[in-house]
Amino acid sequence: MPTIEFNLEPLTGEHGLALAVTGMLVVFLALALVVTFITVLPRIASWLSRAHPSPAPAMPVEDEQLPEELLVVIAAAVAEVVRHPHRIVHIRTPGDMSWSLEARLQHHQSHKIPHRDR
Amino acid sequence: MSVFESITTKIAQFWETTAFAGLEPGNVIMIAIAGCFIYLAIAKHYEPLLLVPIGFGIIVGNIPSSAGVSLSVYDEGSVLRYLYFGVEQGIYPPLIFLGIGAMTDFSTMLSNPKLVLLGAAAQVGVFLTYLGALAVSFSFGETTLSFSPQQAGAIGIIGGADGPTAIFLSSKLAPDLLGAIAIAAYSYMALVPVIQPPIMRMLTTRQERLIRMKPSREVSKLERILFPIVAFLICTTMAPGAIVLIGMLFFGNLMKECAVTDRLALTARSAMIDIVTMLLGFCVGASTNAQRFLQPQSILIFVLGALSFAVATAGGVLFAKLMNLFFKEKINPLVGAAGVSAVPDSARVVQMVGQQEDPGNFLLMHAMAPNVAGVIGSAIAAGVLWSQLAL
Repeated sequence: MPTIEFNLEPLTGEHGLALAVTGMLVVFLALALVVTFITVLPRIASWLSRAHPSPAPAMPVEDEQLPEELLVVIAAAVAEVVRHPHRIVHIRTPGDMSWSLEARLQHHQSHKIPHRDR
Repeated sequence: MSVFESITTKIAQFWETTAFAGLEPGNVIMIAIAGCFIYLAIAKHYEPLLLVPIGFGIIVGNIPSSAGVSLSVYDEGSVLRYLYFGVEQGIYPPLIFLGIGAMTDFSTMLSNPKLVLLGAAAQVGVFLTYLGALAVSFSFGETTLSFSPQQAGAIGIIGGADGPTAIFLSSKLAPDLLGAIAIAAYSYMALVPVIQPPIMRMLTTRQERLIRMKPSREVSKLERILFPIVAFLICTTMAPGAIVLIGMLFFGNLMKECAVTDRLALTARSAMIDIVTMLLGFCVGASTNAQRFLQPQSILIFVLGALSFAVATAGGVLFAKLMNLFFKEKINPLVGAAGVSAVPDSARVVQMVGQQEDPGNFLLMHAMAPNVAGVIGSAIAAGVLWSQLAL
């Protein structure tokens, strides 16, 4: 019959409890230092940003046609796609092209090849 | 000799060269275990990227070869032996860490630094299991089985819930136990959704599980670039043994965050990590030959591994409760369970258990903070054990 026994003697040696407690302390201490660093990181980042300021963002251009909320949404969508410094200089609404789109649609439909029975 | 006798002799000779002649019940058991792994991966979606390569590797490793033919990972000169070199020498785990670094977003951790401590608390599973493995002995008949400090250290790291770290440390401290430790580590990682929830529920009240946490703040690009460099210096100054794993993790993360090495980061987190995962999983599976794997010590390793996961989960949850005694802004203690570094499975389990109480409570992003901190914590723990026990 297999039996499982516990022997506490190995725990008292150099590689026993002493190593486990020291190891746990080292893990905690290292991660506590990481926590300290992360806590001050925003301040370091803001200090570095002040020391090396990035180019001023482009001033928003007044647009009489589009509401401000829509401009914000478009700017956010462009930023998500581009992910690099950029400047939106022109927003073309679909309405600008409605006549040409309609004409193009008709033109393509006129090229449809009719189905023939063999 | 008649033609008939020649043919029967030849058939008998051929039979000896087939796998049937050397197939033992242990091989059949291992092939059945591999079938379970593949079933769990395909039907239940338990860590399929790991269990499919490991499962198929187990099948490959348990097909007996005829004498004189070099086929298995243990045969000098075989192809599998060369592939296994990366496991044996601890080459694959740091490469996996490079890929993990290139796909990890530390923003949630940077936005709520105190959650990092939960990743440290969960490492109690590593060190308590180390002590347990050191103290336990298994007797059957006249044979008594016990573990050396090096073997105990390699077993303890299963509690870190990090497969590559477990493989790395066992390749350095206890290469003879590598197969059992790796299979135990990956099996329990796959079973995180089964092991953790009962412990999480047992140690928390309903009121605690309902705690909603403040949304994370936005982290600037400069912070995300500075973090891997300085955190690497802090961690490896404290535990130089973790240089390889932590170094690759933060190197991968720097490539991702600096935005000027997109191509490198993309390769690290896609093609490279996929190739290494395939090789690692397959080779670990192929190393579990029944004659080496089906030993009483493997059963003991599996029992200790399960305990280490449970202790690590409990450690994280209880430490979160302890922190709530001191902090005004309360932490949902479920988040502590994500301190075991099974990324992102344990964070997903936290989200699942939290939503069972309150469907409107989204804990996933909060849980990712201790989860990635757990990766760092387990790598530091491995570094400490390696540097102390390899002496």
